[in-house]
Amino acid sequence: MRPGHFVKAQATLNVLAPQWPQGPKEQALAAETFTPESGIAVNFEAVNYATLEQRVKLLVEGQSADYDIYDYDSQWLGGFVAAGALERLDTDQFLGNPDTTIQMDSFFPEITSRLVRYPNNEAAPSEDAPVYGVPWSLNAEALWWRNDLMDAAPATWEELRAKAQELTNDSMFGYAVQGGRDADWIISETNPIMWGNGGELWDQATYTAQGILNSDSNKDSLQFFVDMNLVDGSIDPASANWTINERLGALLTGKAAMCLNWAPLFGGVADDPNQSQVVGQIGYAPSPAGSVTTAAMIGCQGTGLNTLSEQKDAAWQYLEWWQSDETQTAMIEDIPSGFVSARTDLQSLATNPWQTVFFEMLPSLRDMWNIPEYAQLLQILQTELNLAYVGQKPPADALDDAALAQQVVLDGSPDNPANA
Amino acid sequence: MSSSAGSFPPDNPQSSPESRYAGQLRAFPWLLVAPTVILLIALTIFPLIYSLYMSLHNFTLGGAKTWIGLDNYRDLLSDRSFWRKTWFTLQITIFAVAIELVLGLLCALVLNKRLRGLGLLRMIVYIPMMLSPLVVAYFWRIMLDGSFGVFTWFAQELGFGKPQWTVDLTLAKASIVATDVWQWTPFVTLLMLAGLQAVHEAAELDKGTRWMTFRSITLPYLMTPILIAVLFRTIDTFKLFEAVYIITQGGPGDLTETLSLMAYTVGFEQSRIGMGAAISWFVVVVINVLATLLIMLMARSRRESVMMAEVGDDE
Amino acid sequence: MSAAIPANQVKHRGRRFVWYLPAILITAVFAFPLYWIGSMAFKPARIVQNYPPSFRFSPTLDNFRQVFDSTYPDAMRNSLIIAVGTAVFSVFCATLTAYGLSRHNFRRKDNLLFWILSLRMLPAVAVIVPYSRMVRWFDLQDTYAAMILVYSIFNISFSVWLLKGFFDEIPKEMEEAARIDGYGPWKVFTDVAVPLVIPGIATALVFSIIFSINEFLLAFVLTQREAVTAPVALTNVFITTFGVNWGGLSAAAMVLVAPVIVFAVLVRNHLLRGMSFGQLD
Repeated sequence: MRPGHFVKAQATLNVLAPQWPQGPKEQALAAETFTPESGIAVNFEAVNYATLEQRVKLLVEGQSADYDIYDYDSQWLGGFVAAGALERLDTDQFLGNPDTTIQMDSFFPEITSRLVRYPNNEAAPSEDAPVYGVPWSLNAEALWWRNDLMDAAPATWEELRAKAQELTNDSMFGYAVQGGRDADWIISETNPIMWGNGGELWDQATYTAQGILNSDSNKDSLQFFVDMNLVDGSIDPASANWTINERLGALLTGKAAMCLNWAPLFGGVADDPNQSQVVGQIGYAPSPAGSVTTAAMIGCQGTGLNTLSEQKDAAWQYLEWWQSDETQTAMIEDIPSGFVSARTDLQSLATNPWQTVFFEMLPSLRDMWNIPEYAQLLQILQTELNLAYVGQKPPADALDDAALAQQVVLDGSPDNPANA
Repeated sequence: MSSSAGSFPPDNPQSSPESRYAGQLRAFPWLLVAPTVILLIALTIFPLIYSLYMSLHNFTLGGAKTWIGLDNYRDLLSDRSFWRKTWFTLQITIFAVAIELVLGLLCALVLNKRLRGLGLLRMIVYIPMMLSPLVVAYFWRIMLDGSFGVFTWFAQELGFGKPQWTVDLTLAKASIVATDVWQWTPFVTLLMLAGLQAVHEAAELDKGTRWMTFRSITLPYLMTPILIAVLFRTIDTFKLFEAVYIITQGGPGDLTETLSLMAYTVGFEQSRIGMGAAISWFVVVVINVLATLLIMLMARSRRESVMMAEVGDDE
Repeated sequence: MSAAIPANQVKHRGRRFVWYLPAILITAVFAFPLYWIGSMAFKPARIVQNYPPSFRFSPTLDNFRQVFDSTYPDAMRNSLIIAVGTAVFSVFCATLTAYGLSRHNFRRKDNLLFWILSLRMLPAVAVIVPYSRMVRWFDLQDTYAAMILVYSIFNISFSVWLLKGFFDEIPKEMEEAARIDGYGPWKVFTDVAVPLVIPGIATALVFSIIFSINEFLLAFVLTQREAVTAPVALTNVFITTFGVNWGGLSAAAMVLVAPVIVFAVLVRNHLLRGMSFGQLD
């Protein structure tokens, strides 16, 4: 919507991004350094995150070259690649060009394997699958906790449950969750518990959910989570309809003592007196451990080139600028951006507690499906999880029903090896 | 404005004394109607055919498009949750429209008085329908939040504890209806006020009891605005989307999902636009049936209301 | 009627004042959520989720500043242009059509009326893809023209039904008298019929503006940069990763509804006045 768009004669890159805390800083930096150096104007359009995926798909459907760069969420990768939205980058023109300044091996492999390479099996990550983007925003779900009420953050889910019960009183709940069924709300709560206790959502090699999603271990994990609400009463019952908004709000208004939340995404929000009533009282710890392992939900976004863009070289130049030392350093230092770099050599620059906790969780990062059918799988499971959470369905039945319905979707997928 | 209640002009010009003009004017109405009809056909023919075409395909946004015949419809009609959602949508529609009608009529009867300041009150009552349904839904969501919502606080102050407006299934249904009622009762009130103004004089001067006045003079005049209100509210409520999507997210589980929300999640969020189109066409069929029934009812009660109005006049 | 008011009418008028009580009560029921939504615009973000809810707080104008500093005012201008364009265009078409339908007994008039009504029935999800194709064919993507045409389909439907009721109310004798005076059919329509249905036209304009200024899904699909409408901008600017920016959303909603209210106030004396919904069978 800014003037840049109207002067077509001068090269203008159009970037389609989600409305994201780091967006304004990226935009400002581009105007300060990228445009003067390259002579290329940048029109940065930030749209509602929840509708960005559909926006891109509609643009692809209309064969649109309106945007040169798409930012995307790791979940959407399969669908975007299948739609032909993203340009393959491990080619001579881009990553294979000896003059390029972007080196894939400068990034954390835990990130690139999940965020920019596709197809990718998390159980057996490949270091040479095709590349469709470069890292844009890195996050994982950490445990945000009240350091004035506790000496240390609970290290395991069992400890967290006990602590939550202990801290629950008339004016406060021990734990807050986003229990709603839309987006990825409730699954972000249950995944770390299920994975931590050794469960899995599916077997990607065989496209199997039946017997894996509804394993005894997962049923126990879900029962554990549901009991915190229905039996212990240490979670606000209203949370069954909550999104990220109310979950964080409960913590920042002092009505909950702990919750999972993304880090470093929200930057210093807890210490901003305009938004928080618990300034200086929030600590950041890694996602708690289950009985088998520790699993932290990944929430990463990448940025790639529109296949139909008419100025891919200029767009690639922008990505090179984005991954340069100067840009990444400036982003890391900007507190509202809540940013850490995917470049291994820049880790030491991120020193805020909400930044360092991300690197603590790096070895335990896990992601869900990123195949084109992900939204169907997600919505099937979240509907059942929500039913279990409010007590409408026993957790075991909920997972059985979800596995059954998901298996139908997986069986029908053209990517299922059985359909090859 | 005609002053006599019974003087509805005859609908058929051929039978009226002015029929000699009808011949010379025969082409004129056609000239008035044709451009719009042609425009509407031009604007809708392709989208309608194309959406039908999509519904016969495994049509994904930015993905495969394979012909599957009636499979989408077969899958849909054999899906039990689909029928549950259809029934839920009907329930919401019936409750919301019934309450809006009664409440809208009551509001209109009260606000119809010619008193100083009532014009301002009427304008305030009209405001909810002027707001974006999206915005209304977002704010009702936080007013209804079972933890910090202002309605929750009212209930607690009145000694009802903290009701889980959007989590408890019954309350969640009621919350959706309440939001729709708040936003759209004003629409019904506006239509009713218009109808009432037409009978204002007659009703004020009547010597009978209030109820008799209402029954014999006011109500017959209101039959048509009532049915217009019911018709348009039924069509729009059956397509209800924003309130459900935002206030309950269709939850708990998918127990408060309406057909429009289902079409949106399936067709849009899951990119299965072919299936979304199939759901939409089912919605169109149901609304068509409902609308046809209502219009038949409308025609019948119009005839009755004319008769009743004439009876009222004779008294 | 004589200038002096008869005693029984004074008493009658006195009794009528009891109507203030229910009238105020009803208004309060509708007004409280309005007050609550409006108060959010002046509330600091940190206390929105307080419990018990904060009724008293020191108001801030930051939210309005935020609204005017964002891209939202551009989107609002777009919305107003599209809404007014749609209203004028669709009510013009609907007035012609409604008069034509009212004055002539087509053999299939009822079917035609029902078909016009049925255009309102299709959920937007079914037509977003075909419409996005269509606007690309005609190179109209992201333009006011495309939005006005598409919105008109939905608005013509309601306006025709509404206006036909008004035209049906006009006594035939009036038009006949005009014809005897030598008026042609077009002049009868513009000089006799249309002035008599001004209230209906005003009402149709109000409803058309309300619909077009608030519609989301079609606007989301058919606009993206130059013609982005206010509801789409609302979700882009105020529904952020941090969650909903309640203050900004409320301020933006107030700014958006203000012109609609102003217009409704301007035409308030016309709103549906004199309509008794004559012939709608």
